[in-house]
Amino acid sequence: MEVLRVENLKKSFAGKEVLKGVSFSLKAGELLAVLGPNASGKTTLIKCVLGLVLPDEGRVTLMGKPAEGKAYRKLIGYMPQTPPFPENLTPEELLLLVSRLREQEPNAEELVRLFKLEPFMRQKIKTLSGGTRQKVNALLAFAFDAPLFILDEPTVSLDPLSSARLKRLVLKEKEEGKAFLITSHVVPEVEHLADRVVFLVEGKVVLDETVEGVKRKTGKTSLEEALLSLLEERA
Amino acid sequence: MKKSLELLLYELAHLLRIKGLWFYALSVAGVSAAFFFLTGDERKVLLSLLSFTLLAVPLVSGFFSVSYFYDTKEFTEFLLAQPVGRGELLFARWAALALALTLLYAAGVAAGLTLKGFSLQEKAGFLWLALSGTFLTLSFCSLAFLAGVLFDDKAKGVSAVLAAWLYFTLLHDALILTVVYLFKDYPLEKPVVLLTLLSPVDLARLLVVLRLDVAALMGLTGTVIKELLGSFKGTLLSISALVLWSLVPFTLSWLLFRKKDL
Repeated sequence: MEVLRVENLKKSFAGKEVLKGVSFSLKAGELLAVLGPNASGKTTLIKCVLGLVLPDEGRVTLMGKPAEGKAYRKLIGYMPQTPPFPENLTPEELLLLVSRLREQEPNAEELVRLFKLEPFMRQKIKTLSGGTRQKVNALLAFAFDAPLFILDEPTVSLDPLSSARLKRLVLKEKEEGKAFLITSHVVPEVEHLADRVVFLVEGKVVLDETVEGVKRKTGKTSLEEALLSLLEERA
Repeated sequence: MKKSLELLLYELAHLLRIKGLWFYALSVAGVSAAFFFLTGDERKVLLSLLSFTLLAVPLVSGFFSVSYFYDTKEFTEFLLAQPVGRGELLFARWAALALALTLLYAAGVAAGLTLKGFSLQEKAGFLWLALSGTFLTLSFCSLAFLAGVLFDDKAKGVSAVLAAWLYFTLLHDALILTVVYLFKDYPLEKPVVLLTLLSPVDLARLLVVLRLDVAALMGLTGTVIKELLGSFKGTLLSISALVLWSLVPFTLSWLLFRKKDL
């Protein structure tokens, strides 16, 4: 079943074209990694899918719903790159706030245990380390049921153990039919998680292929080397 | 509306835990207490506090609100990725900021006044002062939000708010005096009233001086408004204009924010 469809997305900022007709789709139980060099349009693309940036042309639909309104955003679990939470609130308060905004009961207990967050749930965000804040970030994204999860550099500042736990969680949710859109600079990490890769260069999709397909096409054994050779070919 | 209220309460809880904001309340309390120690004359204290309010409240409200707007931009994006309307979110944040700043200002003035117990002779005057401070807080929070929505660059947004503060607290009066001087041969009552309506700081000052009928602080604009409209109508006009100053910049920011790329 198709979860997300992005069609011919175009966006310019101050006359500079950032997205030049991006199209792809994502099925239930599939993990799509959006990769690309700096300034390739990844952030703008994600913001278009989240409804934070309004495209000049093209459309985004999630479970058939256009990218606007509250009902659309309830279908997304979002984990931003850096945890942006107010420093004087506690993870428990944030969880309650998001729960009330989503009008959904959180499934948090298991996640709190998984990320060993029990001692920190009632501490102010400002007292937490970068890694713990990132775990709270993951908790807020995964505590609510949604057909699509958007994870922006999810393992940044996580220790290897927590990073492995997060990846295991992603795989479990994927098996349960959730779709994932992930961006990351750490290509080897994505390689083990992703089913497909969309490679953006200067606002264009230059590759939309399975991980194995990319390696086969380029004759490389790792995704990182394959993408590098693609970039060098274009240079 | 329900989500706006939820957001407002969380935002308020966060804001009231910021120690720097309590320093604002302590400063207001310290200044009002100091005025009482310096002079026993309540009217003088009231007028000194008015001068302090006209200078400090717009600066603190505007600068803090615009900085907060930019510093919490990523949290705004996170919240907007949840099922929340943009209008609901912006209103909740603005209302929480205005409420927190007004509460802390009022708490500061009240703490200073407790030194005098409840034997104040100028109770009404102090209430008008509190109303004047509330309107200034609301107006400059609104202007700060408008600047925040208009400019993506924090430096530009903060500069715009500081420029507005400088203009309204210092330059606007100079502009009125220049107009009066240049066109002294013409009847200027109505243009002066019109120019007065264009400054929330002038209006906030008038709100107190018209009620207290203080000739020394009436200034040109106060004298003209009092002569033309009388104290009651002048006060009513000031309140109406201050309501507009509180709501119009925010409404503009609200309209722009609904279609803004974040």
